[in-house]
Amino acid sequence: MKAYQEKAQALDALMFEKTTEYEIGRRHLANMMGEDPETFTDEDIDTAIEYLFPSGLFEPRARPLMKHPTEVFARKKVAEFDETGRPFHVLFYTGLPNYYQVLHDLSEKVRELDSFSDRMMQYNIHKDPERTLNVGGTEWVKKEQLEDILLEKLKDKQYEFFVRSMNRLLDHPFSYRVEEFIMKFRKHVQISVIHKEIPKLMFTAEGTPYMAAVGRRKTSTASVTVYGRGSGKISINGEDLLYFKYIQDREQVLFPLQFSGLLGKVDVVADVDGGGFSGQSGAIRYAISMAVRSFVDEQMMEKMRLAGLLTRDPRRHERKKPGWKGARAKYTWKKR
Amino acid sequence: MARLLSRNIFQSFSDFGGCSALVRNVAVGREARWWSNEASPAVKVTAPRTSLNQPGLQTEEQLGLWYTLEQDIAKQLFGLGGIPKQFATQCKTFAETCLMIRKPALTTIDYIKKTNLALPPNKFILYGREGVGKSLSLVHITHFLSQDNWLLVHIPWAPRWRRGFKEITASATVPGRYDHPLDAVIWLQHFKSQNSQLLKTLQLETSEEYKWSRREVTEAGAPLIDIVELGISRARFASDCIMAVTTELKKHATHQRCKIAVVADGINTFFCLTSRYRLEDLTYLNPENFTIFQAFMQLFNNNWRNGVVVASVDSLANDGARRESYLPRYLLRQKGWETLDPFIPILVSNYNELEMQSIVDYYVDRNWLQNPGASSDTGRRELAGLSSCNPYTLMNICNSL
Repeated sequence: MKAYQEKAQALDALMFEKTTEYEIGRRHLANMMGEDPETFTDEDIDTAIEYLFPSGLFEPRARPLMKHPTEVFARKKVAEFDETGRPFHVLFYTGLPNYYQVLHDLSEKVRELDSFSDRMMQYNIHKDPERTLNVGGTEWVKKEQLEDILLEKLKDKQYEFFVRSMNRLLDHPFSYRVEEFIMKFRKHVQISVIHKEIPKLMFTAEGTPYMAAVGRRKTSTASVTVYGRGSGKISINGEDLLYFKYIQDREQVLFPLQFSGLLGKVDVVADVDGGGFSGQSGAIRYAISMAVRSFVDEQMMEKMRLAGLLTRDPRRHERKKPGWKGARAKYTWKKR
Repeated sequence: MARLLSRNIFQSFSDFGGCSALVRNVAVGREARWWSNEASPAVKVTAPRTSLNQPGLQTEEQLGLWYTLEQDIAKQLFGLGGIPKQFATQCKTFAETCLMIRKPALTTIDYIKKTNLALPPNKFILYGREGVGKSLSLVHITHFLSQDNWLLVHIPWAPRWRRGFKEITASATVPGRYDHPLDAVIWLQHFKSQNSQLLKTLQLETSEEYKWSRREVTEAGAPLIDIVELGISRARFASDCIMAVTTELKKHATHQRCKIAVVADGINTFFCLTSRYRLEDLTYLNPENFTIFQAFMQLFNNNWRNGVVVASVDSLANDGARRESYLPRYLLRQKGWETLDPFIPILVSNYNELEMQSIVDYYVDRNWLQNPGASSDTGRRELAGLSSCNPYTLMNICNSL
C-alpha cells in the first residue's frame, strides 16, 4: 500500500513538473514568435513548432510536437484509496468503479425522466416535438474510446450492455433534459462520401450541348464525345457500331445509353486504341457513362452508380507464375 | 436481349423529364404515321403491305412497304438459286415470300424501263457493305425483268463456281479450258425453269451447227431449247452448251429478236485471280479458264444490243485477302473495271428510319418478335442501335429473340 501511495505521489510530482515546463516553454515560444505570452494558445504553440522545426516526414505523428502533459502521458488511475487503505470510490470493490458509476447515473437519470414525464402527464403537457434531442451525425463511442474515458478495461458484453442501456435513455421522450450526460458518450461521425464535381455541359458553335470523357479498361483507352440533340448515331474510329463484330461488345457500348434512356437521342463519337475488342468496348462504355453524367439528373446518376456504370474496372491481366499452369491454376497434383 | 426490352417505358420517360431539351422534335408528316403510339400500346402492329405485286407498277409511294412474291413465281424463278439461304428459311417460317420495296431496286427498275435498247447494254452494279440488301434487291429486279418479258440469264451466286464447285473436268473440246459438268447442268435447268414460257413464244433457233460428238449433233435452225435440254441430259457437254446458248442469245439480241437481261450476284468473282481447283503442277487455276466463266464474260462486253446487265459486287465474293473495301473499283480489280466500264453504280445502304419502322412492324406482324416491348419506342431504338440499322445484323439479332 505504501508503495502504491509512493507511486501515486511520484506521478503527481511528474505531472506537476512537466506542466510547469510546458508553461515555461509556452512563454519562451511566445517571446520567440513575438506574440503576447498571456494570450498564446495551444494552437499557436502548434503553429510555432511547425514553423520553427519544419519537417519533411510524411507521418504526422513522427513530426516534432509540443503538447500539454495530460495529452502526452496516458491518464492512469491513481489514488484510489487513502493511507488507511479505505477506497475513495463507493463502488471500488466492483472492480470497475467508473463503469458501474456510469450505469448507476444512467439508471438515476431514467428514474428522474420518468417522474418528470409523470408530472407532465398530470398537467396534461405532452412531449414538445421541437425539443427532441438531435443525435444526427453522431454515434456511440466505441469500446476502445469508452475504455479511455473510464480508464478501465471492459469486456465486450459489458460494452454491449452499456450501449443498450444508453439507447434506452436516448429513446425516452424527455431525453433532451439529460443531453449533456448523453453527449459525453457520443462521437461525431465524419461524412465519408466525397461528392465529385460533375463537369458542366459544353456547347459547340451551333449550340449543340456536348461532353467529352476518357475511359480505360485493361490496356485500352477510349476518348469519347457525346453530343446532345442527336439521332443515335454511333461512330467508333470512324466506323459504325459494327466495328465490334460480337453482339456482347455492342451491348456494352449501348448499355449506358439504354440505361439512362438516351439511346437514339444523343450522338457518340469515340476514338479507341489499345487492347482487344473486350477491353475496347469496356473502355468506351466507361467513357460514355462518365460523359452522360452531365446530361442526366442526380437520381439517374445514383442509379447509374448502383448499376456499376461509374466504376472504373480495375482488373488487369495477372501474370503467369513459373511452375504454375497459369495465373492461379496449378498443374495436376500427383500423390505419387 | 429480352432483359433490355423489359423496362417500363413510362418509367423511363418520367425519369428524365429534365432532359426534354435534348430530345429532337418528332418529325411531323410521313414518318409520324409509322410510329407506334406510346399512349396506346394495345394497338396491334400490322406489317405495312401493298397489294401491288407487280414490280413494274411500284413507285416511290410504295417505299418501305412489303409486297408478296407468289409461291409459284418464286419457285419458277428462284427454285434453283437466287434467294439467299437464310432469307429463304425465314420465308418458309413466315409462310410467305415478301420483299421490302427499297430505293436501289426501284431506281434500277426505273432506269431499265427508260433504257434505249438500240445502244450497247446498260450495266447496273449494286454495291454496298455486307448484309445491306444487294442480293434481295437483285431478287426484286429479277422479278420485274421476268414480268417485263426479258429473257433472263441469271447467275444466282457466281463464287459458287469458283470456290464451291461440285466437279471440274478438263474440257474435251478446247485444250486449256475446264468444265463444270454438274454445276452447268444445274444452271441449264435454272435457265429453263426461268425462261421456258418465253422461249416457247420467242421460238429462237440456232444459227449454226453444233457437233458434240460423232453421233450427237445439233443442226443449224434447231430450236434453242434443244441445246438446253441436251445439256441437261448430257453433263459432259453441259458447259459447252452454256457457251453455245450464250453466244446464240447474244446474236439474237443484237438482231433484235429478243431482249436479254444478265443478272449476276457477285460479279467481281469473275475477275479473281485464283480458284480452288488445283492442277497437276500444284498451282491454282485462274478462273478465266473456266468454260462457263468465258461464256458469261462475253455478255459483259459492249458489242451487243438489246440487253441489260444488272449485277452486284460483294466483298464476300472475292478471296479473303481482297475484302477490305466494299467499293467497286477495289473489288473488281483492274481487269474487271476495264471490262465493265462504263457502268452505273447504285449504292445500297443500311435501313433508314422509315425502313427500320417497316421491318420491325413486319417482324411483329409475323409474330417473329413476340416481346411486347419490341414494338415500343425504346425497343425499336434498341434494335436500331444494336444492329446499327444493318439488315443482315438485324435479322440475326431478331432470330434469337
